[in-house]
Amino acid sequence: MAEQVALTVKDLEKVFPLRRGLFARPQGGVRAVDKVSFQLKSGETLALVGESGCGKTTVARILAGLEQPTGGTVVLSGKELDFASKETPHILRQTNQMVFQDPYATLNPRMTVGQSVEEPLIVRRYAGDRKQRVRELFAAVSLGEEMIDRYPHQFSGGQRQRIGIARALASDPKILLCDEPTSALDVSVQGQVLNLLKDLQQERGISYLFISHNLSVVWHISQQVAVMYLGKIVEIGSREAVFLETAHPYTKALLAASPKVAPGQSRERIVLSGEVPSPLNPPSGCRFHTRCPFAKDICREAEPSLQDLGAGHHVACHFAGKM
Amino acid sequence: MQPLLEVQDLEVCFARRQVLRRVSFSIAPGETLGIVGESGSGKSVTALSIMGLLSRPGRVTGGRVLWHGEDLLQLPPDSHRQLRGKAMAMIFQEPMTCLNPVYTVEKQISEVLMLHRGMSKKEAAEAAADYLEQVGIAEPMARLRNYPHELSGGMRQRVMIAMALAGEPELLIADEPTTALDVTVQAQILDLLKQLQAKTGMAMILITHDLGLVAENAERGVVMYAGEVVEEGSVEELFTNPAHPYTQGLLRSLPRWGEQQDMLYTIPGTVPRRLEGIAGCAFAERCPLAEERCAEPQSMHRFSATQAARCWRTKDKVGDAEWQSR
Repeated sequence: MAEQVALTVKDLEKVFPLRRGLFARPQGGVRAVDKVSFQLKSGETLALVGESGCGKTTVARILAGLEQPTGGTVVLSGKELDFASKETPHILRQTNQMVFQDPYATLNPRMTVGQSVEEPLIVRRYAGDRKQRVRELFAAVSLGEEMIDRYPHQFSGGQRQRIGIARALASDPKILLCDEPTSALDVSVQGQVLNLLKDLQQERGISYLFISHNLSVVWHISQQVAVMYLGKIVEIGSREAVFLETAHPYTKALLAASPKVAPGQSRERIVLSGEVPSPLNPPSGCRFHTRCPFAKDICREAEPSLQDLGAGHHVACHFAGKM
Repeated sequence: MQPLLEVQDLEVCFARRQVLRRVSFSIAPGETLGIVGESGSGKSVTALSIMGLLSRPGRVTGGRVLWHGEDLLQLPPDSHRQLRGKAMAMIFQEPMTCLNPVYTVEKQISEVLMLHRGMSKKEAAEAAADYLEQVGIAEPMARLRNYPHELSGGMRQRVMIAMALAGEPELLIADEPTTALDVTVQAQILDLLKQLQAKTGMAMILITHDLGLVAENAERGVVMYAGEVVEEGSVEELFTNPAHPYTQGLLRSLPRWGEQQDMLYTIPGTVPRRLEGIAGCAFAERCPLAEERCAEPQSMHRFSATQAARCWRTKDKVGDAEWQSR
């Protein structure tokens, strides 16, 4: 059971066409997601990490049916999806639900939170007692029944995020796509939401695709980690492999740059120069070579493919394991 | 040695609501002080009060802010304004809030130089390019002609830092300077601030919600909760031997990579919405160790040269004879 695959993504691609002027023809495009492949097992969490603009949110939006991919395949519970079909977004939305960073932006301020949670049940023509179901959902995210008739502004950030999770759970999804769900929350509240997500996963066997730039949070919640840079996965593997046997210099730099609460501990620090290059015009060869402290000639010329380091740990670097 | 800045029992109200009470701390020349706390704990209000930038309905209702021994709160607004930018400068989380979108980078940096350093327009333009170079911006001459919207987030942050540095301040207050940036750029900006600090000898107050940033970048830290300072100490003391139950709770609730944690510790309850009616410890209702006496007001209990906490238990730990309250 544990080894069942909930979702397989293969060579996923999304190119956003670029137009100059309203009626002009598209001139090239931005490869927001470039040949991304991964597998999400049932009841497990895969984390997507990377800096802004690396394409992690686009991957989630494709899987939520909000965006059409321009290439690649998605296999959901054993069935390959046909993105040309009009039905596909509906199928995606039935099994995959998104949890957003800012729940306040997703809640209608004029509706009670109970109504907001009930809405997906109406849309889906839920056969049972809707009010009863809403009460169950509130209980599942540890919110009292008396909260159901309140309005979004009456809640704190952490409570709103619980409401966002309750609403995502309303359609009984198999997969939750969590896009920075705790980034807007304070540390003490972040812990509550992460614990809730872990509890829900254990109870219901839901899989999470968890997007975050906070590596400590990623370590805590996930079993698998994929690191993205400019639309490509540069390293993927179990969290232990990626965090403790890091093979890609970009992952190393990310780990080194994330602040740790251990004062006075000297550590190897790779400070990258410059910023992420524009995805409009990505660098040749290895996309990371412009910022990589170890870049050699080959990195400028040839694009490294993902190589297997064993036990599902893959890395796209010419010098993986040689540094 | 006289501290550069000393805040004593600062109290601030927004209309009738109290948001800061008995906030005291000091900072020495050249030192880096971290102020940590969750949203609404009063970190930014403290900074704005020091800068004299608090706007209505906020107003300082008590306490003193001593700058080289002189109380800033007693200064006429005009004299306080002259200190801003020159003696002390502030940088913010969102650079666009402080950069003017209709002026070029050159105009904005040279304004500081002409106003505070009495440079001519031509001198200022040359010096502005120098400052851009110092904050690590490539091709400074070209960037001077850019408008803020033409720059990336990290670049804007650098321009704002260059503006703050142009007045050669003795104190830089950085309010969440890297929260909006990616981690790799955050590391660059903090390294830059440290380098510049080593070069100019300015003191820095680093305001952040990220405990890790304080651990890595400050020498001393102040922990705020619900408008109060609940603990202060050297970074070493705060992170290895925290005394206040709130500091302890915060540190325990952090996920840490490399460690096996099944469930995270969480602090029960939420931050109190108003401070009126809470005479004693504001954390008491969430504190696992609360006792009856926590309802009474208490001062900071000092138990080392640098560490002090607003908690009875710390007082008990060091014994009556030893602790001196402030």
